Amino acid sequence: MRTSELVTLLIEDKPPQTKPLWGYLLMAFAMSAGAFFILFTVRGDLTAALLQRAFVLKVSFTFSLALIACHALLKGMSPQDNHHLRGFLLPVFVVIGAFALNSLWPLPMMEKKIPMGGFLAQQPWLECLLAIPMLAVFSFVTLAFFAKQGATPHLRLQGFLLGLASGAIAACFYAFHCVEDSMAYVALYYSLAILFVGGIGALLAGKILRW
Amino acid sequence: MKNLEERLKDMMILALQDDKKAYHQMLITLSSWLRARALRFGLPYDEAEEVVQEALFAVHLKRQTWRQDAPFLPWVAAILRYKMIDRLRKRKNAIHVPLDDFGEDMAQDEPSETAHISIERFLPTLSPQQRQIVLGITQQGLSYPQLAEKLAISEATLRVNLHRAIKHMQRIFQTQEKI
Repeated sequence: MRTSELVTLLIEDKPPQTKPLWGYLLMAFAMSAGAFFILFTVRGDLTAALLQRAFVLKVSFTFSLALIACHALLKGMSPQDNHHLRGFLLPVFVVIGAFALNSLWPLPMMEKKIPMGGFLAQQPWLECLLAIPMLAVFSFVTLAFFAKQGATPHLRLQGFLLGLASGAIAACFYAFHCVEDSMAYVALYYSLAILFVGGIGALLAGKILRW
Repeated sequence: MKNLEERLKDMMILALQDDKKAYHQMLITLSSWLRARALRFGLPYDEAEEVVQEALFAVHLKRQTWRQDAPFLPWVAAILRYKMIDRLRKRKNAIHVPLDDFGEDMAQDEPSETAHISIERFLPTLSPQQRQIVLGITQQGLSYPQLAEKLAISEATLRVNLHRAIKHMQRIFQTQEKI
């Protein structure tokens, strides 16, 4: 087949319309919600927690991280748009850093003479590190279908953003199960779990986002 | 008189509104532009033509990623650059490629038949119906209604099968190890 024949073939084909991000995002949230209600239970003190600043901050952190990562994912869809990505990544890490710093200010563990290592180790960190990536699978698959429509030359970065968004969505739901609201815990273990999913996304990007 | 960027952009905008004539003209003009670029990288004719075809597949399948308020040729150049890097990565040959060397020179005619053997080899990988559709359109010049009647399928089925065939052909291009 000559290139002119390929052109003849292409003009006869009408690619399907790109589906918008918000549709996939809604689907990702819906699937994560479904998986969350099947696999986990909502914490018993939710009504009281909703009035707590720490809980609201925890949910806001994960939710804003998810939105920022999704926005960056959207910005990286075109081969010529990728210079925006680094600029969008920065706020994600600023948010994480702000939480980490915020957690150090009151230093309750020091006032009570509890070593920080011991404070962090008491928490159900292993469940957090396992549950968030597990829940993230559902949103990851959904958002991967969206990301596959794009044409980024920076596959690993886009894969990382895909993982970051999925991990953050999962963490957003997991926050309603996890009774630990302390800033240090959220900043450390939630971030680790989300970044882990981001790393997985970066590793898989070559396979799933190649175009 | 409009320059190449403006002409291609106008044609692409029309193409996105389902103007087949404009799309055809755009792809033909673009293939010449792509060919000139690929040859400037120092690729032999055969390989340059394969890169042109890969880039055309990408332009076609990813055309929704181009924003109408953005310049068109830089978008195509980004696609070509990606395809070139992808190809060079597959070859694992450390040849020097001047990636920033995107000048404005134009067009050579399509090279000889020898450049297109690579596409011939993936036709057998299509399903019988997809192969009939591809050959019906490219070699017999049949229209959608004629081809649908000949294959006794609906036009919608034909459209879906053609799109699948094109995506399959692009995947074959991507996964081929030996160029």
